[in-house]
Amino acid sequence: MHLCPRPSGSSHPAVRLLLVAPFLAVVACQHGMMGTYQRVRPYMADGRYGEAAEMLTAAKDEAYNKRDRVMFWLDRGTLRHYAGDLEASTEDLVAAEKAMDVLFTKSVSRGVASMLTNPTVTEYEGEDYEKVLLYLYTALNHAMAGDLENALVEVRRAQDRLHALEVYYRQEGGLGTIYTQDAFLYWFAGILLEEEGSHNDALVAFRRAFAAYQDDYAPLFGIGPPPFLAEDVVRAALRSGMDDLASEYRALGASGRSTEALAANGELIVIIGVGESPLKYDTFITAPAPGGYLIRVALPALQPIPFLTRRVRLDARGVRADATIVEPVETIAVENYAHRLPNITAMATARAIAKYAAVKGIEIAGNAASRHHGSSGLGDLLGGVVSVVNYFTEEADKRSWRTLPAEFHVARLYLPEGTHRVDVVFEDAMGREVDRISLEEVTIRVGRRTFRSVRSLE
Amino acid sequence: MVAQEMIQDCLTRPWLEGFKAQNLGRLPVVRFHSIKNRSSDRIDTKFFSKQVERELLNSGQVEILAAMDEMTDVFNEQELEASKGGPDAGDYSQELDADFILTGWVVTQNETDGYGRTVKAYLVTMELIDTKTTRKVWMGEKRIRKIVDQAAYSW
Repeated sequence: MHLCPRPSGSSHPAVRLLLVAPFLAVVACQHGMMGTYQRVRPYMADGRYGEAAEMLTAAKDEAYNKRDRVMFWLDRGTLRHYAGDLEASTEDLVAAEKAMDVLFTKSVSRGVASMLTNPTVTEYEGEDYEKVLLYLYTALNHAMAGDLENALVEVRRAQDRLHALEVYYRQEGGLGTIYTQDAFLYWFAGILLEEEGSHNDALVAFRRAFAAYQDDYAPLFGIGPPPFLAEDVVRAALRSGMDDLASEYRALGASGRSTEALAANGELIVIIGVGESPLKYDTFITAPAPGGYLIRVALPALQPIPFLTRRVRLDARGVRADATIVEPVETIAVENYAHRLPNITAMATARAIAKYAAVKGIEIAGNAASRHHGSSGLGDLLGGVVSVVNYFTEEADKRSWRTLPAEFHVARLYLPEGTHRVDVVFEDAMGREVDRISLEEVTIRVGRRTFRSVRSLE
Repeated sequence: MVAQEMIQDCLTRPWLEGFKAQNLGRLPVVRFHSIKNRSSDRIDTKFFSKQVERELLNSGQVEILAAMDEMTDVFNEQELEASKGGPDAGDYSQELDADFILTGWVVTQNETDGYGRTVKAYLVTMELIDTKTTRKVWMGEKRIRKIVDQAAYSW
């Protein structure tokens, strides 16, 4: 936000440039990050994630500032994940998480000082959904490396984070958040617990996932429980000796046959990222203020990025399985932002008023000083300069986790023990293939799950 | 040391003398399943597990079998022997059966000390289970508290 000067306001161009320079650097930095993403994107589209990660590393000093470190680590952690560099990916994402923690603590106590700053010069601490979904990647990194115990730790951290956010918003007393539980992560926890042999705990997690899809995701984000979830509940219930509960979920169309299928085969579970998370752009609200000023507030708005894929399936030499959408990241981001918009607008307006008051203060102090020296108009000049700077540099914070997909899908396929080649096929609304990713050397063991993670921008 | 204290406690309980009395003084065979991290904290439990195993082994009061996650290496070695047709190839008859299983896990809780600092409380629980009867013959718990250091990554 910023103040538009009175038409009569004047300033020396050199003075103005001096004052504007740091703000222009911030604007350039935001554009630098966007430019970097645009250069990295073709490599992502080609599936060359290792090169994309190297490119991002090379651009670090030029395009990213320390205040953007959360965004940098999230982006590089994601690229490294899809490049198969699992340990390095986790390291980046944990670095992002630690920075988020520190910044979250600071933001709670930052207070009035933040009112006078442009949001782009503040340190980016990440959106709520970004703070949670980073754990999906850390959990996947561990699961793909066969470390179920640590994968579960990451899922628990996600649940702790959601709880902390809920508590924070409750204390804030505002509108809060509508993203209070992550159904997909509950389900993933269930699968991991089942793999570990903790069938009772798995049952609890699957039922939580089912309830979260039904109670939150369906009404708020437009997707209900995935078709395979009732079957997961039935299997876990049977393994826990809870036949009555199994019967209850059998009524939803689940057969319970997956227990035998898993006993005779292994299961391939592919987590599929589709599209790109929404882009932030500026929207402005302008309102008149006393003294002929215009108060202008910049707010970020979310723009979904269109993608072609409407259906994803696995194909293992003719054995096929359809994927199901499990995490509508784009919808979560857009709906939660819409829910919080009145709070965000109120904060931005308060910041605009604080800046307006600061300009008036500069004017009054400057005029008093110039009267003291027998001249006049210094305060008006300074006030005018500052308000011009504010006007032309007002910009919303458009930083976000650019490499995060718009949606996550899950595909599951029972395969006999051995090594397989599996294709992940992406199709548009007309059923035309828009992308295909081949998973070579998928090793399947009887009774066990094999996890894979792929991504398409199409 | 937590591992030392817990194992000392375990080995001074009645189950040990009871077992020896019933088995003509034979030492019990214990399979130790490594300590599981059931918390939401990133704890390396392998180090603690090894300490527990070392305390058990050095006590001389029990015999220790390889942990389940180490068995893969043993099986691989036996498979290799089998493929070479060695004298003991595929001969699993010398494997001992475990009389007891020792399991354990760690959970954590965040607390605040008198100075407003975040203190992490770690609760370690271990159980000894008779493999034949599935009876739990010993359970130990140890709680330790540590001040959390919020170390950030350097940019």
